[in-house]
Amino acid sequence: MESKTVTQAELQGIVNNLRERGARLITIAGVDTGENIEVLYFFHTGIGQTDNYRIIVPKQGGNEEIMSITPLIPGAYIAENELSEMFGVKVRDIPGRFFLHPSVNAPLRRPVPAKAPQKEAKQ
Amino acid sequence: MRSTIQFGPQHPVWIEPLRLKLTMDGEIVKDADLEAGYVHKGLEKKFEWDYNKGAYLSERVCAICTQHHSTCFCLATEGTMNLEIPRRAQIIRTIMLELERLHSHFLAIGLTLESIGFENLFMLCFRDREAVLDVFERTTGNRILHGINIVGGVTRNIGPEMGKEIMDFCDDIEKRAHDLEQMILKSYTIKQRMQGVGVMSEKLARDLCVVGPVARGSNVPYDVRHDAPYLMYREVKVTPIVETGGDCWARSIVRVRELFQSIDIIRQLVPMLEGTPDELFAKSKVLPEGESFARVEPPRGELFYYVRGKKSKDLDRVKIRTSTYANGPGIVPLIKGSHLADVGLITITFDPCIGCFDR
Repeated sequence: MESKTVTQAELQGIVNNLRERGARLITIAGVDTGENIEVLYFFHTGIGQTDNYRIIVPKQGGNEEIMSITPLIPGAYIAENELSEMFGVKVRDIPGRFFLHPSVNAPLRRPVPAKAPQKEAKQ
Repeated sequence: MRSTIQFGPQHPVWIEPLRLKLTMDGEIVKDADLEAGYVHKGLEKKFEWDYNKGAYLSERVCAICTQHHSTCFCLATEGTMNLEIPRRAQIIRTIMLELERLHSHFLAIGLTLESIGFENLFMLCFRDREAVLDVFERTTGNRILHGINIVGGVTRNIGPEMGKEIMDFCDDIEKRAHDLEQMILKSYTIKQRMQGVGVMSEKLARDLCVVGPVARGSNVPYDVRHDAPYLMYREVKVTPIVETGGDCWARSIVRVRELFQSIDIIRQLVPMLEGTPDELFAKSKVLPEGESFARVEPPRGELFYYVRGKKSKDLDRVKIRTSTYANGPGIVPLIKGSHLADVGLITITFDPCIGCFDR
């Protein structure tokens, strides 16, 4: 699967461009890789063609925030809510609750892997 | 005076729980909130296990589109292993997919008619659906959860005798579908009850990225079998069936017309089995590694599976985007401004599967 890694600011421009070209949002998927949360955006751009974009969000103890694409593509609303409630990544101007009860917090988020202790430099 | 009505989570028009909080002004819905999650099973987390058990699990996401779920999961997982399945397995999978579309559309048409008071037609639809389930029982041993898909192929063959039986079934079900179509098209009452109700404009359908008969009923010719062909749809060409009305009638007529399309596709597929080697399964020499995704076209619209492997038997991540998940945002704008009596009809023409929606 090919995907292009972009920044959040770049993504807004890309989504705007895709919308004008008549592309359809397939979905948004989150993946917890341990140290980062990757957010994947899948677009159908033509017969047999998809454009996939990835933004990498470094973990900041649950204080991560990304920009929403719902104002550009209203169909992203549920996917962005689900991303937020499953991974604990806040999506700006999105409630962040759709499927889960408020007592359930980021069930797909994984702990940050512990770093190996650094050896003290010999004096 | 405004009042609030709780529509669901337990409502006779839906089989599964979904809640609509309706703000009413007399008989007119002024605002609506959609609340889901009552049957959330946390299945995406459960998929982080042995990929060989994934097809079994994916069938449990939805009891109507079981074959589509397991096929989509297998296609995505096979993508992470660069595994090509034998041609015969591809044909069998595709036949099963089209049979599944038949039984799901009979179900959806029946439930739509029941919601406007036609219980007799609902029973006729279910009688026809039973005939499809009988074919499933004969070919797979199971009526609902077929259990024939595995990563790498299928576990059950369709021999010449069964092929002939399926062809005979096509003749029979075509007559039944034709009778049903005539009953619906010639009914003044059904037409009056459904035309102009719950209209989704083409622009709204494109903005919300809705899928399946909901999109095609609003003149959006989006069908994964045509737009991203998979399995035998690369050879058997599918032209999306569209209606321009965007109302409950258009969505239902798309389903009725797709019954004949599915029968036609099955008729093209069964003869392809003749002369195709009896290989049903390709064994992979590698474990799932990297990322892949697959899309299929279930009866309700595009289904998407994203699979990420980590070079072990256990998968790292599986994301499922179901048809109702894509169509969910379209429910609220259609309900706003409608009569309370139409809320059930509008939602049922989305053919909602809440088990799929929540996963």
